[in-house]
Amino acid sequence: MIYFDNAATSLHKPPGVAEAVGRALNGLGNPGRSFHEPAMAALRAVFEARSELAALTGLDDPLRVAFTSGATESLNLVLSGLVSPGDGVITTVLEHNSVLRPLYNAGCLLSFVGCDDGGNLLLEDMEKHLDKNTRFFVCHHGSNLLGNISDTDTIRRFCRGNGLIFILDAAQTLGCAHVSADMADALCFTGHKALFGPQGTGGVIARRELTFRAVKSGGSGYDSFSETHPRQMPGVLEAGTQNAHGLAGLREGAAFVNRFGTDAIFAREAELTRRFLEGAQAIPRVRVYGPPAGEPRLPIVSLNVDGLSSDEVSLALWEKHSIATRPGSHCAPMAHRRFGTEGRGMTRFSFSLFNTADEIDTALEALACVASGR
Amino acid sequence: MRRLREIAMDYVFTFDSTHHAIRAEGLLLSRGVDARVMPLPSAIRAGCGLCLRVSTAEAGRAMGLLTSGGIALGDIYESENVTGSCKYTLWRTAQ
Repeated sequence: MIYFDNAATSLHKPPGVAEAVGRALNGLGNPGRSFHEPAMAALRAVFEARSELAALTGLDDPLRVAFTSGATESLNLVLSGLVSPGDGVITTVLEHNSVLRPLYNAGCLLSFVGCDDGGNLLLEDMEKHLDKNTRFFVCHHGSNLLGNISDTDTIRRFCRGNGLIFILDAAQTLGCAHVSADMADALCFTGHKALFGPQGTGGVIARRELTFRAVKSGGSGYDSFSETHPRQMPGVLEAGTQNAHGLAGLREGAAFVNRFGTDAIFAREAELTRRFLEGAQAIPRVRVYGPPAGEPRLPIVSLNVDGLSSDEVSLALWEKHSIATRPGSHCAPMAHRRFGTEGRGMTRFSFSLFNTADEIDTALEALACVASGR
Repeated sequence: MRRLREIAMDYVFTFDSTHHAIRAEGLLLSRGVDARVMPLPSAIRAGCGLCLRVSTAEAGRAMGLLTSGGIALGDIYESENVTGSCKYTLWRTAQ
């Protein structure tokens, strides 16, 4: 089996991740609820995970990292905790439903930045999206569909110049591309993709001055007689028992990324992606989406084969060649509308550090077979 | 299981949250201060939480390390063992 669905969940984890989760299951008590050794071991494991994430993003205070069950929960907590009905929010047509649906639920006034045919955001005319109600800019760092990397420097300058709060969805980038905590006011990430952690892990890295409404409330392990949930990071975004077992695994995954280096990971994955992109573009009847060859992109390539739907392509790749890809709409409905693929979807190939050039070549041969009807 | 050597525990450092307490513990242990986590005494504040015990000899250094390390300190108490029960006297209020 060749696994090219890493943008959904990375399958091959570095050595030590599974072992750390196993040890945690048998060794950790409840983090922050008592002072005995199993409870303290759990609290330390969670803090060590915060510290790895802080180191990865150049953050001096690990307590600005709050943990959640993944990027979806992170975005829900941040958007529901900051955005009020009637607020103006600028977002983009390439967003995942984990951004779009919380925004639709928030009762805010939305304005969408478009993209060009290569999936690059049209950031030249952002002023036209501003009005007196505009308070937020919410967007992806890396497109889960096309692999484009957003120009966060330009967006951050625009936000600072106009007093907007910048919320960044880094689900696809943290772990495989350069991400720093100061890129945005709040940065939402997941643990189970490029950070090589278990599912059910993720978090928010927030600027110190940001004040959230507590969307979740419950046990905190301190201030128990207060009728309100703590307002400080990280507790404001964490209610109830933390997933210390999963976070022990995330810590190992993030430590691996810190040791390997995101620049080195990005370079290696870029080479795999370039190899696949060039090969796929040369196959008759294959149309590749996303940034043109040579431009920066995440290890994500989505494509279609003339005359076939994406589910047919992915099914053939799996059943005839044991290659795992992702068909359909990738929870990015507006992006598919933009590219006219809401009906057929796209077949997405997404690579990881643990994939090889041989696997890429095998997949290209398989794609050529599928495209030629063999 | 990690064991700390027994120390004469004379000062109790409180924090805004358990998260701050564990961060403070890590910083102090890494700098050789024998800090020990304990449940926040109900005599100080009811409602759960963690605090750190530090010996009299190391209290001043601990305070300096935590302050320079950017860790927000809560109130600090002097503890005195009186016939098996501890008495806590406010020594320094939170900044």
